[in-house]
Amino acid sequence: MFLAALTACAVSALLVLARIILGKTTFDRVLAVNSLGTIIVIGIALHGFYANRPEFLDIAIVYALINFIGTVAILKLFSTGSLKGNNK
Amino acid sequence: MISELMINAFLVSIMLAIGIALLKSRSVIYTVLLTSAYSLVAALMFITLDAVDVAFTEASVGAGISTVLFLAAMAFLPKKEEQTVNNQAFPAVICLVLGGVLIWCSYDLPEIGLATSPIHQHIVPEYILGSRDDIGIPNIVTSVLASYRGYDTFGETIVVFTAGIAVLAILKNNKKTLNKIKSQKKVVKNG
Repeated sequence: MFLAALTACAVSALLVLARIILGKTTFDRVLAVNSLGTIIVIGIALHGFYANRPEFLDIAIVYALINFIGTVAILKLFSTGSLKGNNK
Repeated sequence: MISELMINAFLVSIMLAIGIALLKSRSVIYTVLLTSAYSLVAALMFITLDAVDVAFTEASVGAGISTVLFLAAMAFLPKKEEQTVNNQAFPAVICLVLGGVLIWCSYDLPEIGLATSPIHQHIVPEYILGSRDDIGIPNIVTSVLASYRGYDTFGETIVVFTAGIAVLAILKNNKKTLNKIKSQKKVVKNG
């Protein structure tokens, strides 16, 4: 079971990596980096399961939050042209 | 069966692929995205190496804050990086030689986790044995950071604080300076 999950993670990481490197538009790449972050969150959870350390789940949650902040910052830059306040 | 080595090799090869893509990228936003992805993979790598605190720092600083800071700085930059015309063979040779020397030196390092290596012999046993009675904090890492090496941490905090003030001071006058540069360029064009 663990092996299957790990293989699935690895394959999807490779697919996402291909999208990051080949990606046609910047938005493809933003989405791909976000997905890579999600896969890494799953990887941390898997590692915590494998090493019998369930406290890794907390770290995985914090990673998900950081990943979200990064993506929101990039998209805000695209929509408003700067990261300052609410000026449009 | 899957070994630690295979997982680490997989992660390192992903990081290598991202690094090569970084070398080839000429768009600023693409570079920022790639460094963010690189930091995320590095964080997972640190977790598999059992350095959870380092991984935490890498994820929050490398993938979180520095991405946002790069993006904030990017708003002031042109979208494309200028093509360099210099010959890059000489720097490449220096990098390869330096990397080779570092790899060669790494063969002299003691095995990871070996209890008899010098780093675990010098002062660490005193910290481990004395932490509870000297400081009274259950976590040894915290007692080393906050008390045994408290002055170190204090100095680091001052350095980071100074850097933050300097960045704020530079960014605060940025609009004025930009306008000044623009007006000077106009003068040069007209005159």
